[in-house]
Amino acid sequence: MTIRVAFGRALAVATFAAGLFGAGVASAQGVVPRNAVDTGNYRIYVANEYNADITVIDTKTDEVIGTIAISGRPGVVRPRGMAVSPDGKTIYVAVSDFHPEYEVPEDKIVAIDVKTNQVLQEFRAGGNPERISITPDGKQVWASLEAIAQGAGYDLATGTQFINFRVGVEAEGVAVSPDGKWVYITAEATHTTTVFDIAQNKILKHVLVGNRPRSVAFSLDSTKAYVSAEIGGTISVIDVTKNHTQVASINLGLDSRPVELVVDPAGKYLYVAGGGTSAIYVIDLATNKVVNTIKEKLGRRPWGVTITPDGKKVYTANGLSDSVSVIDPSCMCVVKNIQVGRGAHSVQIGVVPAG
Amino acid sequence: MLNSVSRWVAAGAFALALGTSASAQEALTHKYDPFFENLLYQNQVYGLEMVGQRLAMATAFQPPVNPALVPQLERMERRDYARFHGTLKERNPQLETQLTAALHDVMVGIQGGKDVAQQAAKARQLLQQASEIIVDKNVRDTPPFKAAVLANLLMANDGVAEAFEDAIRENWGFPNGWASVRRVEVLWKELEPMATPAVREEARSILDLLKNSFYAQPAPKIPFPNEEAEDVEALAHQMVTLIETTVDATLYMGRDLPKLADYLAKVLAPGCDVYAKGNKLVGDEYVHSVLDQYRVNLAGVLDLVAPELRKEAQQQFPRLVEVEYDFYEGFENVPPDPRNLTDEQRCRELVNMFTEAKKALL
Repeated sequence: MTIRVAFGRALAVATFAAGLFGAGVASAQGVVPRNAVDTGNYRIYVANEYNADITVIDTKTDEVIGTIAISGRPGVVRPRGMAVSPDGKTIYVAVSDFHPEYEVPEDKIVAIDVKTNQVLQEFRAGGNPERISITPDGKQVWASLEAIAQGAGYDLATGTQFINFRVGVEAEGVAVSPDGKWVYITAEATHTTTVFDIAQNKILKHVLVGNRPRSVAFSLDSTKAYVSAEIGGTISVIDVTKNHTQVASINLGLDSRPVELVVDPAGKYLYVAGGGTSAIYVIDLATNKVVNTIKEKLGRRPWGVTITPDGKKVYTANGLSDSVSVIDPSCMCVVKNIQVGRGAHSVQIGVVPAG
Repeated sequence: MLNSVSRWVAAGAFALALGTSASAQEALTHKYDPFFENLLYQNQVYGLEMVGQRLAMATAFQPPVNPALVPQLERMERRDYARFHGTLKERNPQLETQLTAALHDVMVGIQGGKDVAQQAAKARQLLQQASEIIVDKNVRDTPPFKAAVLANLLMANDGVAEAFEDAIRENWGFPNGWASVRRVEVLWKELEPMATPAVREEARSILDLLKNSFYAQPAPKIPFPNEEAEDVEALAHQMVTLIETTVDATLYMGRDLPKLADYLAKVLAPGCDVYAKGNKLVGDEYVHSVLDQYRVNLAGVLDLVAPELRKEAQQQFPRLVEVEYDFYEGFENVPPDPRNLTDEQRCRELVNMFTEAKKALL
């Protein structure tokens, strides 16, 4: 069932699955939900780049329970990175087009009320926003602007961009540290990760990491950051406490092609999507060694990866097979594949609060 | 100018410092490193391949060709040819004269709206002869060298991945990829016996998709399917990974940026000596060799960590060879240089730039 999101005006929601968004969701922000009570009721949101919509999956049944249309122009407008607010009320989606050299009205971040599917706000984000991350207090969204080599911060109360700053070329991965102090933004073409100090509102440094960095995730205690390098075949480990210096490089193999990554809720494992090799690499963060490689039954080109807050299921968004794979960490195996929209790009998880 | 740049670098005057340490980078390596061993040869062979590609494109359409295709085809007389023109002229002036004329005949025919099948066939024959004398057979026939040729066809300008992306802006860049993927298929057959059955199967699946879905016909679809560009790029990279694995060769020079900058300085330095002897055509081949890697792997990062070095490069390259404006690279609007330097001096400034770049990236 599809609901079209009409920007700037209210939507009828009568046709939507009853109760789907009734209680709101809370962001896992790649690790754990923040301000919501974990009821064990989770929703998976999958941004379908080519369908211009978002698939919603109930993790109890692992069935698709709805689709949110982002644009009526699939193939022209594309949703990619997403973030869910800590209070569970809002999904933020980075929306852009396929003409990175032009700034177009489609370049924006859209905030959707999960109860009503109304668009609450649109933040102008010129320059092809690709990935976004939200601060733990839910007050700011930070974006990578792929086409113009910039990062940007948006005040959610006013809907305004309060800062933009230079990062490397083809900016992609973005993460706010769980302690809310840092924004890291990776850049594919310059092999760098830019460190931005939120309190001081300034760039601290550009860290040279592995070749073609795609994504970044912080450890639960915010002391480490992990950056995937697609061509380097590595995960760069940056020690936040040592002036944001790269202190180790985890080798996955030159043919591993790592892209998105997520730390599990216990902080023990790092799950890394091997986009070009259709694999998930599981790294033990105590030893920085790969302890498992999951390939069997996995969809093609896993791009996004996330994990439920209870750590019981891992989900991958598979771009070439238009599917989501469900992994059971207890067996490190794929237990189900779910068909979603064309070009599954990223995947986020929300928690439905009680009541 | 470079002296002042050197001082600036030495003084640690970066607004922003790199945060990596060399020891933190555990390098992954393959056994062979064909680009680092033979970059100049690779550049020459890439030029030969690209001329062949334009000839295939020239005969893929009924005349008259779409006017938007003509600038793509003109490259065979210009930047493609410049990659090996000087060496050909040195080694076989007669063949150089014939090939120059043959390529010109093709373009005259194209511009006149004529069928150029005959002219292209002649040019192709001469190109084959040129190929035989430009690159040492003992190098050219090794699997790592062939693997690097394939990597260029898949990822370099006007190759499989880039042609599709370029076609978003200029639709008639698309036939480049159409021709490239067919050439990749031919060359892969030479390496395929080395591959495991699983790799062979995956490569076949990738090439089938590229050839029969994304590049099924030589003309671009209008409206152009912009959204497919990243799929094509991902498949091209996947194919390169399979080739790396099969041949045990590193095909991405950017995995070690300080090493790359150092190597580019070493490759370019003899080219400056060639300029000093007055041989501009051969000197230009050296510049083209390093320019490609500079653009792909160094320009962007230098702009972040050593912008003065990047500025130096952006100004000197276009004063030596023809470069095309690129969205990110900013080669346009290069001001006249009041210093009236010789080509040799400009070349040496670029060598110094790469040497300083290595220091900046460590």
